[in-house]
Amino acid sequence: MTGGVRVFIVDDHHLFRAGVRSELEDSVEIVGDASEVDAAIEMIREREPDVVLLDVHIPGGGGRTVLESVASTHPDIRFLALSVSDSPEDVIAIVRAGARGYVTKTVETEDLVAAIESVAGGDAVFSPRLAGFVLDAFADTLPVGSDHEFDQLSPREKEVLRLIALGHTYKETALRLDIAAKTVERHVSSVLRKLQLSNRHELARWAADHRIV
Amino acid sequence: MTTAANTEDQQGFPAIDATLLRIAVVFRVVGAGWLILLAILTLATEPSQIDAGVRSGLVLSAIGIAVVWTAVTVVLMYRRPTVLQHVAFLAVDVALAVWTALTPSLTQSVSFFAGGFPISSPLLIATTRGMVATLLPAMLVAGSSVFGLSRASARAVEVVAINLLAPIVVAWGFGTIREQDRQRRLAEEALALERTKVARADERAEMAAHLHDSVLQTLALIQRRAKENRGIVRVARRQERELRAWLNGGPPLSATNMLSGALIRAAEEVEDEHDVFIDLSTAGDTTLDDRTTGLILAAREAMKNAARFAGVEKFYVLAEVVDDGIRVVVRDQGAGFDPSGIPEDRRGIRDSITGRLDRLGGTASIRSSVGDGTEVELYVGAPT
Repeated sequence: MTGGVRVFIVDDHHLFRAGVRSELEDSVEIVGDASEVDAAIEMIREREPDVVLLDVHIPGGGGRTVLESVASTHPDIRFLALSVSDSPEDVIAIVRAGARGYVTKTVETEDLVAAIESVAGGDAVFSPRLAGFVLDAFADTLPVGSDHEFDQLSPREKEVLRLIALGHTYKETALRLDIAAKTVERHVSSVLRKLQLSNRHELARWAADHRIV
Repeated sequence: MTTAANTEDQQGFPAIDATLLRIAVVFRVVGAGWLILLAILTLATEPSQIDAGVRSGLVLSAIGIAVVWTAVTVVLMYRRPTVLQHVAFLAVDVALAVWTALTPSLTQSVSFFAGGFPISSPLLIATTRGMVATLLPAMLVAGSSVFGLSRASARAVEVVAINLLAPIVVAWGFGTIREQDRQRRLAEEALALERTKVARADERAEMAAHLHDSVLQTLALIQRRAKENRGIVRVARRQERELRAWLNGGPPLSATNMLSGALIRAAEEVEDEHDVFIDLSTAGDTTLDDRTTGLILAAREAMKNAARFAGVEKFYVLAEVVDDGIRVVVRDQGAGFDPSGIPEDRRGIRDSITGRLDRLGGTASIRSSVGDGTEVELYVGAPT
């Protein structure tokens, strides 16, 4: 319980919050939870957790508001997005806003714990689904000459994302590509940065094309 | 009952027509009264130019027609207004009007005692049947009214002018009123329809938000907490999928004329049939053609294979549109097998995948080893 990663849960669904809490209690230290944007911001600033488990959809502005407000005062607090939505638009939006990763709410407990620990350690957590979304978001080839360094994934980064989308762990990915696990993490972080910094027109259009609930 | 009958009568009979019809009928009542007064006055004051009995008969016939037919018109207006527009009714109406208009000439009376009754017939037609239909009856009534009058008389000109012009002007005026009313009703209907649409969209958005916040969360929770009960998980997943499809409403994510939509559909079929979960990602998209459809069928075989033989609850599919074609990879972390010694029962399935790809001019490669899962990679090139 103590000495573990300090986690704060933001989710407006009471049963889900309670469920996740009881599942995680043995592995991490839960320092609090909140169901509303304003309360969440206040409590996170006060308790300074290592990782915030953040539901993408919460009333009163959504997870993104929580993330942006907290990041402006406490840049060290890391966010792991959690969503029932599977909506590429929402997921990409929250990652662009600064979340270090994304998992669906149906994730297995052990995978969730692993994801929390990775995020706490400064790594990015790409679920297979997020890897797929990102590949899709960068799928269109840009016209020659308009390339910005953030607007295109390198062939190696695409390779890494492909393997993750197919369910490989970072370790398996490293083995498959015959590179170090740390290198895989570096690639994933680089993809995350590109996703956050890219202003590519296509990314906005892509999100609009995929506008679903 | 009466109300119901009335409503039925009014069907397809706009309120504006009823109003205009009423105006024409009121004019007929006034015209009939006018005829009766003049006819009685004529009988009482004018000396008879013909046989007195014949004259009385002819004058009384005009009075009788005016009374009875006006009564019929009034009753029909209340009970069966559509009859007043019927050709047969109007034919009889014109015939009676012509007869009453002729009676002053036939009795060689000085006074035109038919009064306003004859002209009420073309006016009635003008009310509901428009200018063209009014023309002939107006001419007949005008002709009958001046029959026997000296051709050059100023009065003849006056009578013809009134009998022709009045119905035509009325027909034109009422036509304009009716057209404006029609336009107004169309505009109102369009507005009402638009309001309903907006209201429905709002309702749907609100409902979608609510379902998203509550039901989808609950379904996710059920899937987390009921891992040991496959049946419940399966039901929850199917409900989730159906709900999402409904929530998406508009242009569906899984448009089935696109590669992504057709693949999602295929994966859902395999999930339902074999009770597995497929984590499917698609990067890029393209419209379906023979080539992509063939590729999807092969991918479906590969998914079924994984579902049947890998012995896992979950596996992964990635479809990618790449520069020179489309690549689909199906990967499981299950039992695997030794590709050099494919069992007989699996050869057929494998052939159905590789055979299909061969025919499409694509490639299929299978990587597997015992205990280390299977990866099937399918590829077709872009059409040349």
